[in-house]
Amino acid sequence: MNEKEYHDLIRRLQSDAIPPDPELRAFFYGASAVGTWQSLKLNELSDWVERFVQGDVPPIYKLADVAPELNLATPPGAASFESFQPPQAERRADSGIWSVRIAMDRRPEFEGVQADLLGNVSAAAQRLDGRELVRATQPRSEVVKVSARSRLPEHDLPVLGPGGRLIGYALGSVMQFEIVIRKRETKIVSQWRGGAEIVEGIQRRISALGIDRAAADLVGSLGYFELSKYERQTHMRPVFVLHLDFQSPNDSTPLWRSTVVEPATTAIGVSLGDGMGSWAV
Amino acid sequence: MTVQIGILWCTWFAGAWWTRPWRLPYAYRPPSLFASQMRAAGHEVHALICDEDLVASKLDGNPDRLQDGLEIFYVMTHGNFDRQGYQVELNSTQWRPPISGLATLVSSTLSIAIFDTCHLIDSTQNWQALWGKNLGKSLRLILGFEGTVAIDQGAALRGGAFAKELLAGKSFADAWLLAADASIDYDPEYKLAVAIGIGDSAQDAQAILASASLASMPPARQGPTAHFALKR
Repeated sequence: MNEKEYHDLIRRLQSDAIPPDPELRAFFYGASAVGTWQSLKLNELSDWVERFVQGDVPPIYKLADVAPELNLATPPGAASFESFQPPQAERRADSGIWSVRIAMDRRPEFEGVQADLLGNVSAAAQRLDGRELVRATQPRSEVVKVSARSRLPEHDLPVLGPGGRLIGYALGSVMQFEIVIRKRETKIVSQWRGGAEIVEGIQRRISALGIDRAAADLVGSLGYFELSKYERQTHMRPVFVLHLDFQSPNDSTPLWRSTVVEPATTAIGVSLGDGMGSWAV
Repeated sequence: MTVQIGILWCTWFAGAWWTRPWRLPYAYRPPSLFASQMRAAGHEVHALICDEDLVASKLDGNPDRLQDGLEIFYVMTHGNFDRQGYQVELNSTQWRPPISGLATLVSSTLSIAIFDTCHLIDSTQNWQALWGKNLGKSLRLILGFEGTVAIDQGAALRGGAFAKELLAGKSFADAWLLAADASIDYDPEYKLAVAIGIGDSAQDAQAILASASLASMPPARQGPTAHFALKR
């Protein structure tokens, strides 16, 4: 994103009514796509899992209980504006992650300061855990204005799940950023679970959805799993994530979707449910 | 101010719908988590009905319709949208709220309806006309999803998340849109939450989207015609 595009984005964020705009992108430099999603059939699960468990073992991480200090710098030009409102940052009580509210002043003279401010949020988010931020698919939403996913470049793996994101919501005259990026504190050496055990776990979870498994289209990816801003999380671990799309047997109309998440590795002192939140069940 | 809440869900289906039953084992979670948070904050869970007890006659009967005595009504089950409009799948029957009517009793207090299902609207059809046939004056907001949506044990947290956002002071519309986006593990196209404001004019409907909150429950409309404003 060049400087002109960047400032154009700021203008759009400042505007009164921001239409759903496929061209409106997260203001971060993109990297590779997040997640290598592969279409699968049920009888291909074993081969798919086995391909991963032959490779290097990604560790499990113990996460910090609350996010570290955010260190959100004030833009240098801000002092010249008497009405400048510094961003309000607070850790959520339920999950300990940062939520940052920035008043969007629509006057043109604020554009530079606000561009710096939003840039500082993204820089602070990246500093929290040393992750790479990646453009996410731009939603058709009037509220979700910025959405960037994260990945762990040292393992060449995406962070999947509802978390692992920096999200900017437009709420009236305020942009609310949720930095759903938790700090990894301790690396825990782990071992791959057996391929057959993983597949059995995936199939058990699919069966628990109570549907005809053959009626679902599957896509799967290996990655780390991070929970939403509403949940406290103790560990971040490698998992297999499968999205299931259920279709009408009559006319293939998409009906609904479900996700199953299966731990890929184990470690001494870490239970299979650690880091899985509600998906542990 | 205490609001009266009703929650309904269906986890299994006895009808011959889609040629075979399609269970939703986690359908109990979104409305239950919503009600749990709201009740802890002092609001009242006035109605709770699920599965085989959830029959259309309790919703479209005359004169008794359980939703008319509530202020917030949260339903989780399958939903679809066809040429006749939106349809809710109950345990063994279907319910078409736009046809049987919502909040049509003069005494109705129903203000906010949450249909946590797929296909509340279909943008390829004139959903406004189909929805606008039979809505009572007290109903000011309908929340739901456009297209298909995820339901599993984790995505189900959106019910509790919605309550958290509401209790933090957000408007009903923003609380719903944020909770859905933040809770569901899917690309945005597959969790497109929508909020429909209902007013005496398009401006009035838009204003409801911005202003209606737990601290500012919207008053009934005055005029005979419902106008809509949509927020995604």
